[in-house]
Amino acid sequence: MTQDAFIYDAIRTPRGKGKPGGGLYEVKPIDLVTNLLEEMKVRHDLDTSQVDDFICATGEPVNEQGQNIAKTALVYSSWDDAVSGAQLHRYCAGGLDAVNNIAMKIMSGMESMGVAGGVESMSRLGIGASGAAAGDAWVAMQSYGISQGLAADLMAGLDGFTREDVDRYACESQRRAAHARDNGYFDKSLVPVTDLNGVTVLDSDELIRPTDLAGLAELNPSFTLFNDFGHGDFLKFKYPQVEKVECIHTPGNSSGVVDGASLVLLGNRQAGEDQGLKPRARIRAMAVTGTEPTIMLAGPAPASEKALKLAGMGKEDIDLFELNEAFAAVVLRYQRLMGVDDDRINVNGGAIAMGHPIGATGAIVLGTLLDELERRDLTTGLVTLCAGGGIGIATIIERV
Amino acid sequence: MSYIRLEKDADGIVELIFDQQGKSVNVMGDEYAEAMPAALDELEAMGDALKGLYIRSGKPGQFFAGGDISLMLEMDLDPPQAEREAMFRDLLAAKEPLARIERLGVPVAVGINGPALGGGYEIALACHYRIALDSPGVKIGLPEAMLGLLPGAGGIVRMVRMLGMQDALTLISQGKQLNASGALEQGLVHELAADEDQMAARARAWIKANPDARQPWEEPGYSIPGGAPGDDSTQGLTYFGPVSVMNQTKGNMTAPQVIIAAVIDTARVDYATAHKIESRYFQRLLLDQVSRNMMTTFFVQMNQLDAGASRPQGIDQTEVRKLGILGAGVMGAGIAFAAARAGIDVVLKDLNQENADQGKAYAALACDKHRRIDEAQAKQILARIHPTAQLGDLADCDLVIEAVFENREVKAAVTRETEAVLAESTVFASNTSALPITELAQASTRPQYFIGMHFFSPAEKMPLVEIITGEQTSDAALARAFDLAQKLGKKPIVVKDAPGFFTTRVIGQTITQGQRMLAEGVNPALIENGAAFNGSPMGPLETLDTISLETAHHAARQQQADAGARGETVEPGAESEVIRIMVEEVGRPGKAKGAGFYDYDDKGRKVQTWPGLKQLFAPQGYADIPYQDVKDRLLFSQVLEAIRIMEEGVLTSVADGNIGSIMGIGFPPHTGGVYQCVNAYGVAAFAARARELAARYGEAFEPPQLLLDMAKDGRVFG
Repeated sequence: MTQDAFIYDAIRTPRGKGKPGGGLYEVKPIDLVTNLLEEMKVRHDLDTSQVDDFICATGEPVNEQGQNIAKTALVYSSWDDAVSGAQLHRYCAGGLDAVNNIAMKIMSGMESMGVAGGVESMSRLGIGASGAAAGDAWVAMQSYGISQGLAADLMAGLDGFTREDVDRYACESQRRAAHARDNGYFDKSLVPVTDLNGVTVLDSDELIRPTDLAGLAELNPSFTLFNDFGHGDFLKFKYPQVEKVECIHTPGNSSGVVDGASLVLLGNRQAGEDQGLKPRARIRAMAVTGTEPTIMLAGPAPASEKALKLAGMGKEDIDLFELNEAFAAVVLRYQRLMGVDDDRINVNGGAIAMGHPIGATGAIVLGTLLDELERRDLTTGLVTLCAGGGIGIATIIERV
Repeated sequence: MSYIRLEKDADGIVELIFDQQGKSVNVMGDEYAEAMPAALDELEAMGDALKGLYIRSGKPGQFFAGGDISLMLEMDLDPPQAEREAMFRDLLAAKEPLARIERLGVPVAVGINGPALGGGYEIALACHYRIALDSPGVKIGLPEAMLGLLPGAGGIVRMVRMLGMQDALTLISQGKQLNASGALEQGLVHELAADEDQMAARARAWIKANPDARQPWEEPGYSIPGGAPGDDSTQGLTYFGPVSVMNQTKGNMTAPQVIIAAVIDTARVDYATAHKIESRYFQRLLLDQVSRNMMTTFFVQMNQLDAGASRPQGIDQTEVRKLGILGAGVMGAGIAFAAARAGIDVVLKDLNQENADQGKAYAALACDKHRRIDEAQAKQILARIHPTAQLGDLADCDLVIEAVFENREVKAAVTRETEAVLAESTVFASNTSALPITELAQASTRPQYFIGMHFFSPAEKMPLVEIITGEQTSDAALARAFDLAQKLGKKPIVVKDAPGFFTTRVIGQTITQGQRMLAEGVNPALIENGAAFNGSPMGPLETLDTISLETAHHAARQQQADAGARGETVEPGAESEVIRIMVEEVGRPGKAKGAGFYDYDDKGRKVQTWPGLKQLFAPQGYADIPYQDVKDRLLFSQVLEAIRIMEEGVLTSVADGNIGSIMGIGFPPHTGGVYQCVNAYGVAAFAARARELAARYGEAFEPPQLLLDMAKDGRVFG
């Protein structure tokens, strides 16, 4: 490793409800990206000709998010033509993987400065809009993939978590998110989305809502249909010890469907100095891994272990953890396996309260973690996500 | 030309007549492969002089049989690369003539005068217009899936483009065979004709009226009926369809997987490419062990069975015109229905008229439930059943089946009183699942006419009859029982007398293993799923629930008492202890009482395994046993018992054992049956695995000498 990769800034749009009528529904995905590109440039008076590359993740790289939305957004924005761009897909891990890829380019010495992030307009391009290689009949019959939500229910059952457990977690996520928002913890990084005239379209996360356990308990499970339409039996190819999956994940304890984008500025020390930037954190280690693909949500713990080992660190060396709240059971499992208490993980809530714009989330939670490390004046943080196919991803950062 | 005749008339319409010399049916074999391209050369050479083509069969009432299964069974299962390449080229070449037919540039009609199944119907599909004879001899469809294959001569490609993905998938994957009117309704033929002359006349008229005819998918603006993959209308099929195939077959059957993939994949691409994809999937099945198993058992061995391989030779075909049935319960009434439907007069006798009438009412209900029986037919069927309480009514029956309570004394009593009114040579058949026939025959004054006929419940549906010959049963009696079973539309297998015969003994083993594993603390879900994923229709716990734990408990106690009476002591096995606890201690006697290993709702539907099982049998947590061991214990126990049965000479026909195990007791069909499954596994490997299981789970898995000898000699069951 010839160079350190530093995080100079991490910003994000607010997250709007991901359906027609949501706060960002009228906004094209590319405009979510360029809003952030322009803000990043203005904030730091950035000479964008000195930025080598932009990697932008999205979960549905088709139509108006299609081909290479990164380069398209650069061309459309005021950034210099010298900046290159690429689109990246690693399901829900894409946003963090984009950051990791730029970091690796910097560490290798091949590039000196880059931006990474993701975008997802789930209101305009819902899950599945780009089709799926996994949806091919022959492939599906050899792969045993099931609905991800049902996989969460399956995993919760195997781990022994109940509906009450996941609802309790969800309730706390909402409380923490509301508390963080009300106290301005998000203000530094949350960039309002404006229209072509500079008029604000949305300036705060739309999904956070007052929640109590009684209200959560009334919600119907979301993935019963998949269970009843064959996935409940299909999973027994892999899990014959299961007689029947109990469906416990609801819209209340699963990540919300939202629109949003994220952008992280990374560079080596010299490139930052040349632009008069102050590094906020250093990338310590990165890891991806694969786990059993039918459950597909168990990747965060092994990915975290792998990153910790690379960093020569132990769990106790991490001050704060940020694990994407894809489903409440994912976090509960992680806490149990990693021995992480409630007060060290997702301390400002997560995707259950604020939503999970697939490709954008990884870079969003990285930024949330960094902001909170600074606010608490702590040093090390680990950000991790589960993703389709059993992918796990983790990145360890360290304030400088 | 010895296979195909071409006859041209003055209008330029050519008749292409399939008439394979020396055969009663036209077959798609080597001769066809040679004759067809030559015929097309000739047709294409006619140029503008050719105005239309009418394809028909020269065999009266026989259109065309399908491909040659025996050739497919001879193919190397794992051929070297060059052979695989050649095989693929051959598959494409084999269907090229059909593409040439539809591209001749003239209208092509076909006249279907008899069965057009598989390859036969695929020829018809290449024609632009299909006329079928409105005759009961006409059967139309693509039944390849039933033998683990797919219609690989364009059947998938053309059916999908003609009917759409969903309908094509249903017809092909279920191997549906339709009669003439059904085929018309489903769109497999365009019209029906009263006789061959009318068929030819209609074909000519259509040819003259449609000089520009072509396949529908060649018409401008064509799209696949019902939508293509990727369309919203087909999402349910493409997303949940494959999952449903896997769930229904537990991934054991290759053909259904290949068929749904071929249906969808061929719908994504252009016509010529679709044919290539179809051939690749077809080749996949030609190189598949499961397909071989199914061809072996359901074609080769089924033909042997149907031809009477287990029937005594040299005895003329017999016919039962009047059948007596003793006992009008569910079993007796079910047999009565099956017999009446087959045109046999039935005397259904019970202790009193009311019981007998109830039996007939059951048959009436069976008629109602049957989709293919209309009101008039039902009336005819029911008119053949004569319920009675009079023993004398049985006097002129050709054969009598007793279906009374499974109790030696009761059976002995009805044997004695019935024989008293019967003619000397009337065969008396006892319907029992396990009672020794030779012993039952002791009640008979003429044991040479006493035989066992084990029907399965519900008898109106279950396709197997296990015929058991007692020590003194004559060949004549066996022939009679065999012929009757066939007349009833059942598959007869022939077994010598021994406790449990064949089927009961075999299935008993897997049930026992289920109880033993439960006693060992194995997770019941693993046991039941293990059976399901082996390909069994029901797990051992549910099976015993259905049979009734109480019945099993009584039987075990009776065995104990019998042994005690003989001065022996039999230690109850772990399995009988499980049953005792269930029945005596926790009061869960089985499905009929709404509580057994499973909980049942008030409609008698299975809810889930009773949660109390864990507390009872695995209080410290479930036993840690490899899932593969669970599955193998359930399967190997049955197979090893079947091998012992053969070793003892109780059953001698491999075909009977394979077919009997699948059709009688739900042995996984993809294996080809209890014996074929050993061939597929590898005889030596099977013996080695059995030894491994024996070391871990007891002597029930010790490989029998017969198996060891076969492994040593490199022999297989066949």
